[in-house]
Amino acid sequence: MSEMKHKSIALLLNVWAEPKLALSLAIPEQNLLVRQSSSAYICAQLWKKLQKANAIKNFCTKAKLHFLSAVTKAERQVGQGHYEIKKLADLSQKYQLDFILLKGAAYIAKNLPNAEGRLYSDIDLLVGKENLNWVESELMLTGFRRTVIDSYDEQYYRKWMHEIPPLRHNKRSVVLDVHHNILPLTVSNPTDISLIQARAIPLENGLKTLSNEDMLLHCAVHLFHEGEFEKGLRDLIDLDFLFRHFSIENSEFQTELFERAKQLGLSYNLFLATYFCKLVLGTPFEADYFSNVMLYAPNKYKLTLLRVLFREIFIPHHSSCVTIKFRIARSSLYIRGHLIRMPLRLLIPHLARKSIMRIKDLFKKEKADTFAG
Amino acid sequence: MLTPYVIDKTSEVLILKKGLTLKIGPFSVNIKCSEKTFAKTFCKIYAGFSFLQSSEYIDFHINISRPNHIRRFIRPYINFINDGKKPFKPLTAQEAFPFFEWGLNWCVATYAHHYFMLHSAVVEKNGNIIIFPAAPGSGKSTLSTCLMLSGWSLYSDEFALLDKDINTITPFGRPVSLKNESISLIENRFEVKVNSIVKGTSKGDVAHLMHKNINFIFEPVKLKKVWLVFPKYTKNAKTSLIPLSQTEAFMPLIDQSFNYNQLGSEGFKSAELLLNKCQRYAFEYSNIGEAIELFDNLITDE
Repeated sequence: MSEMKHKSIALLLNVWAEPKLALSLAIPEQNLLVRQSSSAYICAQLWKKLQKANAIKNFCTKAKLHFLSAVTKAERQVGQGHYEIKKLADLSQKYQLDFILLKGAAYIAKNLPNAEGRLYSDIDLLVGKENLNWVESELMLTGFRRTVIDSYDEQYYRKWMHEIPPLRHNKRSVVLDVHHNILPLTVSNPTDISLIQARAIPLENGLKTLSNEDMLLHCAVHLFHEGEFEKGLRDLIDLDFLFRHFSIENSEFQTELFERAKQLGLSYNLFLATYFCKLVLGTPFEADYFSNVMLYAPNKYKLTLLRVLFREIFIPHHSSCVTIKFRIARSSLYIRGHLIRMPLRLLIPHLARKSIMRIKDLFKKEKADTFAG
Repeated sequence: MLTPYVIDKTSEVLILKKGLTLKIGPFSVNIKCSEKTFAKTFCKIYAGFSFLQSSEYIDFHINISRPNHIRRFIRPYINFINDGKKPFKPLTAQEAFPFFEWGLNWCVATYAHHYFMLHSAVVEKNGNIIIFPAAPGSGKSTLSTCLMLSGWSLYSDEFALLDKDINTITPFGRPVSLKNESISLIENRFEVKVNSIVKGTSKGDVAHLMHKNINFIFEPVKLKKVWLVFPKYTKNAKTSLIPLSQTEAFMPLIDQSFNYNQLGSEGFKSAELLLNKCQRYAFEYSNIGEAIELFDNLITDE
């Protein structure tokens, strides 16, 4: 790999780690920084971070316009998010239901530092499994519709997944993911969701979020069960923000987090989150906490393998960063993602079916969806 | 102004190999493609545009390419790739050029939030500017092309790029896009030859026309005398120009804004400023000769 390529791969991560570097970038590097951060879905977040570090004054006008366009879009999303949250709060109050906000929606509702400039694609909600059908039909009465999926997908969701097929609002086009668990039912040791629900914390508006520890653990579990990592870096940055923020709020946070992970059987996921946050983003940890978490590390061969693969994947998925190593890591982690989510007896028929559908799709008559001109 | 490199035959090779960076309107666009026919059409239509050196900031990196699987060879199709992302489903290879134009529209509409953007044609004559916001199919491209071929300067047939304080408008001159019957209408009336017609796209037959009256200066122009005219082509309709109050013009205006919603309260302010600044009309027509005469008179009556 040439030195140029090496330098360009590291650009975003270097600037993220050391915002002052942004002051001395030439125009093509500024251009690349905007492109990499957009492809990693953190353009607006990066701008906010650089702004706080007083590192934006040397950007050229065009680079600034791109950052500000991303900020406009992100702020609009946050505005819409608050509106949707309010609507859900009304519904939960009307029926005295427990609605627990997850991920992006929870960060917005709690105004956590990572919500600033963060893009989110949908609103995630956790409800008790016993209320699922009922909640779904109530949501449909307020304008949410099932997204079009085929009967196989439908059945697959209902039988094996931790969520129902996404619902899209017919006017506001927001997408709602209604979960009844934090992981698919096909993983080898599903978490007891009632333990998590019991610790949920009410917000002023009647909705709930997970407790701080559970919120972080959910973020970790979610990230390290993924098979696709286009948003992997963004999610790792979420974890970094949460680690730092909660540790400042509560000096016992890291100890409590470790205990909680043990209780829920999620220590290995906490190890992965901790290890890669430190490795990629330099997240600070207390020495005791870190050595405790390292007890859950796999043997040194597996650890080396995981380190090599995840190091490659937590970068912007942008043409300027794609190398052969990256491609290998991406394919390997894709397979890993499937293997940990499903036992082989389910996975093989599932993937076979999906590949056939994909080949069929290649020859379907295209229905154009081009932007009206 | 930058004119060290002008598009010519050698640019075709550049598009296919390294990518070519052009200033189109206030944006710089890097274009790369896998299709020889696209490169040829592109260089013909954009001939006369200047291209930029590699050290300049590039707003959009666009790649028009065939996929790396069977559809590369059998019934080939192409993707519109915007810096690695594919916002659209693929189209057939012969639709490459219209695909590029539509895709670039999408790139601008989803990015340029430093403007108050309208889906609109814009024409100018002697400092008088007419903005024609309209939904697709209302005949705004045909109308503005006819005005252009009758001596008006065309700022754009798709976009009004207004600054948020509604002091200036920025020309975004590009080949005008003509569809179906309007192609032969323009050819017959003005004795111009429209090349590069692509038949049977999702929007029917599509052609793109370049002309010297399309504004390629791309510098913001101060808004002095401005009209806001909502055009509607109706078969056999009598030519009519009906004044609209600010309230009446508000909904049709924001309906045609690409980013009224994105801009939130800023968008509302821009819309209000624009409605204050303009004379506002609803315009219905079927006879293009009468339409041209009407707008020529409209600005001289002032």
